[in-house]
Amino acid sequence: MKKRLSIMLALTVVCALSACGKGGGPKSAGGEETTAGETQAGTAAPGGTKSEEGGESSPASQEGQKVLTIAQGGDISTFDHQNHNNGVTGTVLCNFSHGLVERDDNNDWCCVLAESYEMIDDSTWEFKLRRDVTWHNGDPFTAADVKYTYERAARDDSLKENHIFAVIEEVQIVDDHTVRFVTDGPYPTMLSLLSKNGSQVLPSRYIEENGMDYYLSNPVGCGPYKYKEWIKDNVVVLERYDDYFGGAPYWDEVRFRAIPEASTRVAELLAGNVDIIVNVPTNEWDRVDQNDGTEMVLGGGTRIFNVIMKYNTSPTQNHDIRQAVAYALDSELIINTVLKGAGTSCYTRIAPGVFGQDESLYGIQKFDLDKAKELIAGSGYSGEEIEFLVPSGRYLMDAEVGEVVAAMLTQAGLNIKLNVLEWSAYINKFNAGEFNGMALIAYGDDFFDASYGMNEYRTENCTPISCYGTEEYDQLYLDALNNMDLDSRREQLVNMQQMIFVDECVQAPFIHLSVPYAINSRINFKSRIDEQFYAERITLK
Amino acid sequence: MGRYLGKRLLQMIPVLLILTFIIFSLVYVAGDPVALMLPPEAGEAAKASLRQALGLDKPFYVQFLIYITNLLRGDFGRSYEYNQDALSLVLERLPYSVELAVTALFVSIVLGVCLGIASAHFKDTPFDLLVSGFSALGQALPSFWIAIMLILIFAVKWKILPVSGSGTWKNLVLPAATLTILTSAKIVPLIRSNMIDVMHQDYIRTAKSKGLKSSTIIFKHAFKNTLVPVVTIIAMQIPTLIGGALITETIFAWPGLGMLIYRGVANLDMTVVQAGVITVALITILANLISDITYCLIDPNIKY
Amino acid sequence: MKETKRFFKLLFRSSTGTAGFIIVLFICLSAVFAKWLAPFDPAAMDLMNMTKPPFWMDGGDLHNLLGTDNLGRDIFSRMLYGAQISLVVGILATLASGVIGMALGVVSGYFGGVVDHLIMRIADAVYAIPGILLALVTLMVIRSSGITTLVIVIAAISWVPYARLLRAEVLQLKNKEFVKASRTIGASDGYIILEHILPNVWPSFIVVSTMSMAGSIITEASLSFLGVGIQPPLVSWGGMLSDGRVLLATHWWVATFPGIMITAAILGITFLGNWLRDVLDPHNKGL
Repeated sequence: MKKRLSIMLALTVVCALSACGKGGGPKSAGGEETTAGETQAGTAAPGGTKSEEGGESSPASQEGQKVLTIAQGGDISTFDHQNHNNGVTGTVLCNFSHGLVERDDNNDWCCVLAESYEMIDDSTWEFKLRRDVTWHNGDPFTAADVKYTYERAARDDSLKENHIFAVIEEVQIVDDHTVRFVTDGPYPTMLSLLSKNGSQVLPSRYIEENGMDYYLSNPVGCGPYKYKEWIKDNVVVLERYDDYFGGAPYWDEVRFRAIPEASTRVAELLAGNVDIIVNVPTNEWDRVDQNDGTEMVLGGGTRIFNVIMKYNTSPTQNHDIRQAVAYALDSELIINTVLKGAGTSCYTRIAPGVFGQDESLYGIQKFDLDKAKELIAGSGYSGEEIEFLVPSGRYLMDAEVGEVVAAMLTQAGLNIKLNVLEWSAYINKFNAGEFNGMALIAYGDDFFDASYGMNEYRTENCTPISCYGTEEYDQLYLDALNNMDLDSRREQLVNMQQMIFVDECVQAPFIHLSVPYAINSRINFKSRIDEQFYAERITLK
Repeated sequence: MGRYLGKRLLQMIPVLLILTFIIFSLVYVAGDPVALMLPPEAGEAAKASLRQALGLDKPFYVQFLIYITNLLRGDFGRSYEYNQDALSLVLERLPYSVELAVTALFVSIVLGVCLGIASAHFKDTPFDLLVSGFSALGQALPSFWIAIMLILIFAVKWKILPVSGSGTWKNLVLPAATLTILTSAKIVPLIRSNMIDVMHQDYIRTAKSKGLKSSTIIFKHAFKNTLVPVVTIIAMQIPTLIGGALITETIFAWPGLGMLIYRGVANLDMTVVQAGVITVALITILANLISDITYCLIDPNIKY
Repeated sequence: MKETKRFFKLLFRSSTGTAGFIIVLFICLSAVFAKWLAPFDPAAMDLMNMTKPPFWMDGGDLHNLLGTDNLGRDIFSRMLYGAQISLVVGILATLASGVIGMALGVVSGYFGGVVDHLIMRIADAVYAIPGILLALVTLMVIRSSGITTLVIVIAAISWVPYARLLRAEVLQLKNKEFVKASRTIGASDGYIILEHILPNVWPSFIVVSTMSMAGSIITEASLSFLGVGIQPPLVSWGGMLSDGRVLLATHWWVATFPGIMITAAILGITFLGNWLRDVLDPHNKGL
């Protein structure tokens, strides 16, 4: 808490400077720096929507309407932004409502509902709010909405996001368009918190007048698209909100379909009925690319495959065994075969784009089979069975990667008992620590700050799964948590990764996963590292 | 009849109670929904406080008693996942399941009865063999294989039907066809053997000896006798089609009850699983009751 | 010896019965001798040889007769080993549900009263839930994917038809003269059940069993689809079919061969079952 002046000055940001793509400002009036395909709504109106590939069932051409259809594996679970822990929900609701700040396509912060923000002191942030924002029911957006949303998130402990927002002590209303967030201590990651998935605002007056249940079935937001219809496990339909403060929305309708079966999603894309699908199985990639009018887009994400080793039980307790596991993983082979190139070798669980990543641990693999064998031989390991718990159906090729990893560990000389389980059975066992040895998981990070991922290794968070926690580490973490100086904070986070993944090898992260999308070639689509779909940034060619 | 009905209705009470107990204990043992509601990175304290807020820290029998008392008031609890009344979620989905089930059942019965009667009539001809082969195959193929094949042929290759989803009658065709193949394959052999039995009975022989046309015999006399097995099949297939079609629903992204329960199980959303299963079971029990009553109406010889 | 001869004489009289017998025999033999017949270790991966087509297609060779799956494992070898697990699950689940169902059905029918009521209401309750749903929920609860759990769960959802059928048979038999006579002599309940009741319900038990076995194999495949069936490193036909389903459009052979095996096995068992039903039917004068 020494050099905080510098950052305080640096963080007085006036948002007019930071453009946030189309959702960010009322820029639609003037024709400014638009990229190649980004024609505005007016020019590409009725008639101009036919795709050149001649796909007669082009999804958008219903009665000349511009319709964007995105198919994912699951459905949203609610319109209550702070009461879900569901990736799909965030990807849909970011079109429906906004946060004060959000991430742009380059993962930088940009103001959306805020006009500017400023750090008043270590634990107080002030936000000036835009004055031209209206809710879909016509009510103006004011400071009261902000106070309601974030104080509820911070205080109602039945909400699923409560544990993250609990740092907020109070939201003070300075005037109708100025709020101050007060935290319970120095809090350098306020912007990460307010821009993460699930931090959109709720309409306070609407909810107070009608009740939460009414809101949930007749939701109101302030984003470019308003609620039209939600058939659960089937489709969420959002339609354009003409009075949107950022100008007229691009699409007439955005449809988010839930299609659990991967082969069905691919079939829908090939039949020309949807524009974007997620989690495309690797074997379909060539077929999608060779098909006329569809193509693959390999995007970035934050998930990193990680071999969890129980820190307090034998034989994974043994430092040499843990190191050997890290050396036994031939991540390049897995990436080039099973994953068809959709990944990057690494040995930190912090992905690029996340603040505080140790770049020296990224893009290289630790693989050295001889060294692994040597370590095992010298460890006194006598062939005890080690369980390896692997999820199936959750991450790209998860069960397959798990099977290959098991084979690699066996080759290195460990006696591995593979146990593949369906995701919900897996996560229950995983969280309860009901596995005897190791597990495969791919942690993500929608907070984009390494402190989020590195939290797990503190003494305070000791679980049956990983119980590292040294005094030195705990202190380092606390320092980093409250450190307002960016550079020294980054250094602290990097040191923590060195301690965990290099010196101690508590876990063995090994592959940073790419995210495979398949799209209809009629659209311009740029994937985002947070895997959100901002419809306003997806356009017709 | 009235006394019989009363007895049957009374019998439903212990059945429902046992059923609720089975489901409740299964779901109770299933473990901690909190584990799934929070990300794996969340701390222990956060989990404990969420658990307490949801009342999941009370002992088993207390939770069960509370649950039963609430059920009697029609309160199935709230879905953790949707934060919505569980029963209303089930009722939202029921129409989709019923639409699919009724279509598939209707087509299956028409198809099954026609093919069954025809193959009984043309017993031991190539036609009979073909039909028997079809029904044997229909019972031997896993449903998801049939479903994926139908998509690949009709939706991807020929593009004459939509791949998945719901909304228009076209969306209904492929999932209903999948279920029809499975269901009619079970109906055909039943009708066939029933018809063959009937044809050997004395009154049919008498009719034949009187020189009545065989079509008249089939439609006037024998057909009536297929009603009993048809009613049995309807009662038997209703639970499978309404709650047990989860695989077909999943592949075709059809938002029915089966998929709701499947997703509920996957999310450990206990209240939804309980509400869904109890609803399906109630429908089954009522279907059985109605089928028994129908027997009496069809055949006055059946007495209770 | 004479019995065996009579069995085959009856069998060869029916063409579908013969076909069923040959299919089932063939599958059983390949399962038993998998260890010697399989050219490869079913779990051995070859990442440089992924999704190789069967030998008659371009790119395939006689090394991997039916091609390889998405981790380069030999499909032919996996199918042989898969037969073991699929059959073991099918047979054990059938036996277990048969034993549970028979015990409950006989007890229920023979003793009547409160016991009968209780057992039948439990049967009603279990029967009212679609089997696949009950199995799914139960497997989720057990959180395990072994053969034992799968067998127990399949047995738990399929004992009801046995119990009902045997109860009905016992109710009929109970009032037959020879049973009544035995009781007047002072025979114990256990003796009557063992000596008079069981031998007489045997035929219906066999017939229900064949149907139930076909059902168990399909159920195993369906549970694999739902993600709660047999899991790697164990291999079953259902698991192979379900894992291979995403490859159907691009590498059809991965899912199709196990699919054919499942279908063949069920057809064989069904044919055999139908023949047994005809032969064991007491009204059938053919005996």
